[in-house]
Amino acid sequence: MVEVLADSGAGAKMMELGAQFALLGGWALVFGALRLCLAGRSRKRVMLLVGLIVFALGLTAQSLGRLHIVELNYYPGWKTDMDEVLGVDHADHAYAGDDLKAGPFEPQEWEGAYWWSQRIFLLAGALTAGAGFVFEGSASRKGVR
Amino acid sequence: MTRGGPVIASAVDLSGLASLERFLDVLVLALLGAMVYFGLCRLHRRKDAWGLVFTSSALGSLIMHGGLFLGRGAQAGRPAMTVVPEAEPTVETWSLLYALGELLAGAGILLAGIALMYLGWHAGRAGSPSPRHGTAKK
Repeated sequence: MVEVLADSGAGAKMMELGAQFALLGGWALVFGALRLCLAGRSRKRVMLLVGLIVFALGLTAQSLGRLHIVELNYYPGWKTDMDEVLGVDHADHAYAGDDLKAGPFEPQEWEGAYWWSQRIFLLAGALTAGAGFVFEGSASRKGVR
Repeated sequence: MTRGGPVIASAVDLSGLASLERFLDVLVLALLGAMVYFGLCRLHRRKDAWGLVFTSSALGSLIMHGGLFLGRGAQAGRPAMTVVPEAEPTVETWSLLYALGELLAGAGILLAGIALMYLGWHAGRAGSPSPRHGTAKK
């Protein structure tokens, strides 16, 4: 579906705009949580702020990929895919001219770190910020700051 | 290594990757659900316009993200060789709808973020003493 969208100009533009909105929204949430923290600091609000900062960092890394600002060659399993040549088990043949799947460039070392840290930041940030929103909501319902 | 070795390893890696991506999608949905809960709790205590904007945009984004998640699941689960009847919308129509969903979901997060900034600003104003009451009378 995403490949089809890459071909259609309007669809690609809408997806790009959506990614930009989400990126801006992630940082707007951070500033909102920062403002809440400055209004009255509590453990729940600090938790919310830290979670949203971590989530926004992960979202920024994801959005840079979606907006084609950062191009990643890395994904888990790239090594086995590179080594796999139809009918040949030797890694030296991976860059044969007729093998379209094997690119000339291996992923750089930072690309793996970028790929994993993006997902770890999204995971940790979403968990912490979600918990922060729930605790802060419960506190505001009871009238406790 | 046996001939089938790399293929199996690759399949394992990619299935793990798909599970991780799906888990991250579920976590984002949970975060949006928590935002809706926060907004509803706030509205329960005090009804204000920015609280309403925050809750409704977070809810809208949650619905959009949920729809996109289900759409991706349906797309992945559909057999590749299925013949599409002529009456059904084409792939281009579905992909345009998908892009529109992404756009609306992003706009919802942006609106929720702006509303949270205003909620924080209001909380700051309500928390701080007003200048008239704060100055000591002579």
